[in-house]
Amino acid sequence: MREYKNYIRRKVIILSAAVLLLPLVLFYSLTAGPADISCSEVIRILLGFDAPENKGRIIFYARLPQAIAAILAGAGLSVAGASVQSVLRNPLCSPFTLGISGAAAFGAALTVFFAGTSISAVQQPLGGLGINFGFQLSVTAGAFLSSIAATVFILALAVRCQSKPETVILMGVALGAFYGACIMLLQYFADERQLAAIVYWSFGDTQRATWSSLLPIAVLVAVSCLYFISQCWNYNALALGEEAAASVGTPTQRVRLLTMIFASLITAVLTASLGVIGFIGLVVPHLARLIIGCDYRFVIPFSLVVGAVFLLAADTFSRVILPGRLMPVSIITAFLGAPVFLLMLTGKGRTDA
Amino acid sequence: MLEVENLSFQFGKEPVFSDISFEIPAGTIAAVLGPNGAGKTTLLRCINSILKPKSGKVRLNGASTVHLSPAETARRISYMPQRCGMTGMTVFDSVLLGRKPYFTAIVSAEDLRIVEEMLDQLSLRDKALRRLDCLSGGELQKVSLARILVQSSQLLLLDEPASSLDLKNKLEIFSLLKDFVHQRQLSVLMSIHDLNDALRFCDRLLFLKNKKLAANKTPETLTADVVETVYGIPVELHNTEKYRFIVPM
Repeated sequence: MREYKNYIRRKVIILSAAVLLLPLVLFYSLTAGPADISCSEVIRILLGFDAPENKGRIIFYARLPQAIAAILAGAGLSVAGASVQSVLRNPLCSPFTLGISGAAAFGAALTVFFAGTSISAVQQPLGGLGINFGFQLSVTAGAFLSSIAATVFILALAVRCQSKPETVILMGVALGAFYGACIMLLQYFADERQLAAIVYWSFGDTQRATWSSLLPIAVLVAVSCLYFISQCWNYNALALGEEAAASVGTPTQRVRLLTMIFASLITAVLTASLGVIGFIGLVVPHLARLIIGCDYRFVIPFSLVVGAVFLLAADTFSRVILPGRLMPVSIITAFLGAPVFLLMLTGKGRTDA
Repeated sequence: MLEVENLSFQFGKEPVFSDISFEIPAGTIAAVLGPNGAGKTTLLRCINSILKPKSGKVRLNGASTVHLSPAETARRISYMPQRCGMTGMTVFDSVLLGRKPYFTAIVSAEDLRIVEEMLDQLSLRDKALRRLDCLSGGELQKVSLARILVQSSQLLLLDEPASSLDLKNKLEIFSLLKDFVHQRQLSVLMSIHDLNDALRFCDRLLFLKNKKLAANKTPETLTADVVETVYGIPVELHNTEKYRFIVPM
């Protein structure tokens, strides 16, 4: 059927265009920032030709890991958001719906509260707040353990209630509120240095990325994305409703549970290592559906690419908006995301999950 | 041929129906009838293994359907729920989902051809690229029917398949279904409220009442007192040359 084939071809073209956009934004991202590095210098550095050593170090140890962190986080959070919106059949869902990011923030705050001063006392402080590598690592570990505990807890509850979408969403809301209260309690008793460290941590920031921290993120995002992509037809089936999906052979409970497991793991690892980068997991899937339609064969890969481009662009923007300062990207995502989202919703598009 | 033997189901401790047994030979359309809440939909879901029956057996062409994987079940049994999700998916993709039990990721040219033919047969071709959420209730029912027909299964379970169709579409759809059933020797079980539709289009009438199978009749053997017992109102049965019909008094 020619019309259908043309329709599919149009979507493939849009997807390919988005894929081509990524290296362009990546290249621009490497040239942008307080240190003045020109395009030709970036090319020379990337190709291994001799260039000023300090500029090479900035590219390889600051800008490139930061850009890759933005790509991985953007892709991971967006694709997880699209999948969770599909299996929980709710357009308001995001990877944070299950309360995992709250748990990570709580784990970080708890580590700061109990270990913050003692660790920073023995380590060489790097910044004004006494933030240093050992401290960073232990906070990340605390955030990760806490979010994994929350993941296990909420998924166990989900299994118990046969992963009914409404119940799982409400449990996530309850868990989020609980962790919010725990963080407030810690903040109430914390001293000024601890309070500053807790608040600093809660900013989602790609500048924390190092090559060694990127490896586990990359592996997890890759494995999860492969799973999400393999489930495209099941997500399409679920859009027709629980029973219609089951009747075309979708194991609905298993798909829902595995999707939630991968989405939670992505959230746990990304939030623990980069902080809370909000909004992207909610807004990008909607943007993707608006542009490419509701077929999950395209929504999933397109969310992945658009998420990567979006966060990379926001990250680059965060380095150039205030001359001489590097702003945490999470501030930019919400500032950019909210108006885009509102425009989308009031505009022509229907972007139901 | 579908054989249901002593099938029982309960929600928690509340039994919905118990000890239901019947057969639907190949090439037969059976209607399951009864007052609201009699368990018609639940019966269909149990046969399709969406709900797990408390006890009893379901056999299709002599083989039990209990231990089949979801995809294997979908190749043998297709189920059309009462409501279909309103999404932005296109009609074509939605019907293509009926072929999902036969492919893993890549859709074959054969699958596309089957979908295309079905859209032609149900006069849906000009709506192939429309979004589901832009269709009327009747069109949506036709799309759902198209989806379960491309599933090429031996048993069709339909939950109120014609409730949103106008008179013309209902006649078209039911005659098309009849042709399909006779050509491919399928068994069909559909829940239906309109007794006159059941009398006209179905070969067998199963009445559920008080958690039991109250009667198993053909349109020819149905009597007014069976209907009166099941629904609790007086009715009259009339015969024309071709059809029988019921008038509530």
